[in-house]
Amino acid sequence: MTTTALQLQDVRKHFGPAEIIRGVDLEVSSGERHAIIGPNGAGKSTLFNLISGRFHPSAGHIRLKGDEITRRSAFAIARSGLSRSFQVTNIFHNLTVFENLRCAVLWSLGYRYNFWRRIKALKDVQARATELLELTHLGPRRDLLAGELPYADQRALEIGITIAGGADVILLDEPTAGMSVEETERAVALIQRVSEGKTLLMVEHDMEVVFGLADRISVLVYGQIIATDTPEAIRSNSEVQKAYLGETPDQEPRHAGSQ
Amino acid sequence: MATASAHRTRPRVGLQGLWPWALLAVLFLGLPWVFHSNASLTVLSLIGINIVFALSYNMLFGQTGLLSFGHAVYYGLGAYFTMHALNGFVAAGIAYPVEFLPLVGGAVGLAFGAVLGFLTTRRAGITFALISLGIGVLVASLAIILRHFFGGDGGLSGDPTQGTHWFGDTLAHQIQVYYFVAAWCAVCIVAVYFYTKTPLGHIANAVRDNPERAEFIGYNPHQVRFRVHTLAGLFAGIAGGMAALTNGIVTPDALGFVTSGEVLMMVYIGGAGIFFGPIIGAAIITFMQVLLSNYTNAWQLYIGLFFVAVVMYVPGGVANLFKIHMPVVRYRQLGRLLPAYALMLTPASVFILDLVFMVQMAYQFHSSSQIFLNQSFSFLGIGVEVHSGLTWALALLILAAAIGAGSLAARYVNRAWDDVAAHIKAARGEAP
Amino acid sequence: MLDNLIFTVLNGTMYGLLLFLISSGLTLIFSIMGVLNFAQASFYMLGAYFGFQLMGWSNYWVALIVAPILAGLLGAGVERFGLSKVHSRGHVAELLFTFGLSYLILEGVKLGWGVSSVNYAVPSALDFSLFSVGGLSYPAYRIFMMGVSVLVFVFLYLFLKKTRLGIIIQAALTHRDMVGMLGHNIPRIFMLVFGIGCALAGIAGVIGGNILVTEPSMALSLGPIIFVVVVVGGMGSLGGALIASLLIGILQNYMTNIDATLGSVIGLGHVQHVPLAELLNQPVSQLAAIMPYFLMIVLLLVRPQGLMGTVEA
Repeated sequence: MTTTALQLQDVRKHFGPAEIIRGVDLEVSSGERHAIIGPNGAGKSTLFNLISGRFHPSAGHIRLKGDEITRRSAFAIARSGLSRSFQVTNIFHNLTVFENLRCAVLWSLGYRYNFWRRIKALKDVQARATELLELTHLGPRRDLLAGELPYADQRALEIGITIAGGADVILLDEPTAGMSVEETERAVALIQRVSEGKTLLMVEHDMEVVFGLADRISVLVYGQIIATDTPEAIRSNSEVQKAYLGETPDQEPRHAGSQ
Repeated sequence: MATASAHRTRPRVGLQGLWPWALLAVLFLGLPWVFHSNASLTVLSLIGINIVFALSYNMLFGQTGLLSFGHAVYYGLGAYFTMHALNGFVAAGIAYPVEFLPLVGGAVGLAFGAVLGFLTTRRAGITFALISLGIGVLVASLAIILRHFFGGDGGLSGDPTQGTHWFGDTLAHQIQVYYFVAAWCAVCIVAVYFYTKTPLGHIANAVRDNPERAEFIGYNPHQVRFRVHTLAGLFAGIAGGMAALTNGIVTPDALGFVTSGEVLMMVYIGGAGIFFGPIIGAAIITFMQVLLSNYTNAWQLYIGLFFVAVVMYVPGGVANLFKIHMPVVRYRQLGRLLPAYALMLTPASVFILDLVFMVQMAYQFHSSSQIFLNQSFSFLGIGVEVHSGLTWALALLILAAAIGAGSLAARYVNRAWDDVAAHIKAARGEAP
Repeated sequence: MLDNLIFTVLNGTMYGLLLFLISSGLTLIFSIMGVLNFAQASFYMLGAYFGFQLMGWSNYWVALIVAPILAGLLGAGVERFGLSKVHSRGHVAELLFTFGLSYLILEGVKLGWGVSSVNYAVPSALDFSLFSVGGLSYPAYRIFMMGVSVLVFVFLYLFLKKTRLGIIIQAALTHRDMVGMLGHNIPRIFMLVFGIGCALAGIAGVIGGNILVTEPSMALSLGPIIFVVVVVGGMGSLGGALIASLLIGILQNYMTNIDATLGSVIGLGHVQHVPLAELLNQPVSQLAAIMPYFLMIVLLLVRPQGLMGTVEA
């Protein structure tokens, strides 16, 4: 029996006169790996912002495991088990890598605004942060300032922070943006590791990554989803090709859209 | 604000190891033996009070990214309530030990820090700064209106030698006052340091660095800032209580903008990104205030110039200057820097001396009569003609020359630093 | 009763326009450079002192023209030789620089003119009563002040809308980064904008310094009110600053005419033995000076982004 982890129902968003998201319906099942692709300007990041609570939809509903989260604030949504990463690396640049991860696990382990215990004495926090360090292969960089890491490591840390709280629904916004081939491979391996048993929704431009990882793909064009289906079906969907890929079926570009 | 570390060093809150603590302990215990006159002990006590005040301010500023222009409110209210408690307990014969009265100040600082903090921390950044300014002015104005509680312009006084004392006849002699202040100061330093190591302390840093991301890891930035603001109020209130008992009087200035500005300058000059920064800054500024005011009317101008110079050229503060030299010392590269520093010494000293000379000359100008009243004045034992245009022209010329020579020397310093950085990288086995 | 109201509105508008002159410069600098000029009221003070000095050396009309120019040149110089070095370090560093600057200007003024107030007087040419309403006469100088303010705004409007530089500045108001990328000389624009912002404050000082007292503490007393104006109006909103300035101006003037105590106004009569009794027993006129701060608190609770500000992301 599959449950719906995340549901969007006729979600709309306009900024002033411009309607960016024009009625999106989406259902992501529990444990599914779902990718959203689409040309630039389609509204993919906006959609993520709506889901994660960075701002609120003008109309429509968003439900997380049946719970209405449409108007909830970002931190409340994060506490409800939905976590997101950012396209432009959004880490705590003046904290070390380890401190970044440590901060990210605090709330989920129940340590609210504690100011009477040393953080080093919290064994579960230290253990979980160390676990994440190993998961993201950032061990050697443990005590470096996050702001001084090379780009790919920052992206790994970005993902590490995102999954740190143990969220069951993970949103990744262009996780392999700006990466070389080897870096992308490592990132994909990381994503597979961390999304084990979780629901994954990701925005990606790299078609190889998408077709390799995703169970289902939705295509977002001008604020509307024009198709949701398995990768093979999407690949051969003529409407999608017309609107987005712009190529005939036997000529697939590796990267569609611009970086 | 956090410092941009040029090198990948491990701790960024404190200076490495235990030696700063040992040094602090030595200074605390040893200084009163070296400087044992009443005047010196008074200065040391003032420094101790300002250390606590500055540390409380940096909880907001350097550690949580909240720039407040009204922090003196909690300090001042702590002072006033403590004074009232002292007088009240003495009058009512309540045997509450005077040595623990700063706790009253702390409780008051905590309470107001919480109430006003909840209101004001809904916004951050510049808006918070301006709101804190407004609240500060409001409270200072109310203090003048509510004469009964605040004693009007003359303030409120009390005698800390009265009442119950648990540690002998504390506060009757200056050396006892010093130990009273030193004890509270030590306790507060340890307490604030402990706070920086707690989850709240770390999350506050995260909120400082990236309040948006802090939300996405489950934290409400407003709630974090509110709690930090409350704790900062607590320590500011303790400092105020210490001040009330040390000085025997509290005046409305304690609440005012000037006091708020002073603690900001102390923290920034000392270094907001390092735990010991505010301690260093409090010592430097208090010292400058007391010492310079004996020699010149221009002491406030000097402090202002010093502050602007730090903002422009030493953004991490004095503590950061120490910090960036530590890897240099550790990798034994100091030898490469010293020649360049020596080269810089002459233009820098000439610049400072000349600037001081010009400022002192300017202060011979009597504004009310709009002329230089004295024909000449004595600068470092040399008589100088103040009226002479030649003197001014010469002074400006020397200043320009010093700036020119200084810029040239600065290039050598930069080159030396690049050299040192490369050697350190090599020594660590990092790629160049 | 009606004449009282007319005077309140006139005086309130005069004061409000003065506040707007200063806060418009602040808003301009903030919108284009992202810098909050903590020393904005200090340049207002400089305008008054320069005006006083120049009026002593020649006459008021010379002062009216030259003092703001001096203030503006000083501002441009500060940006060119000081503030520009701090831009790369972020907005807090810039704010701290201008905070230090305000400190230095204060010391400079005390050095140059002493710690007590100077007798900066209304020029005799304008020192007459323009009209009378119900037996009370209204000074011509105040009307002159309002006239100058309005004239300045007209010029500012024309500058922004009609000149090439003005249009660039307008663009920078909403798309700061774009303007740099279009190849315009940002350092020069910054110098100009900072200079104009300071000059605006300087004008306010020249025309206002003789009505309000000219003394070293004038910057410290007016500065926070200017910041209340921009917070209440909404950071970066000129329209909001105007509304807030007029609101505060008129409200304050209205209050200074009320001799009844705060307590009696809210129906409590004379109050005793209550913690805030002294506050309630104060005549409302004495509380006018701190009203803006209460206004700010109320607004904080009700509408944190200010009257016309946008919600901070």
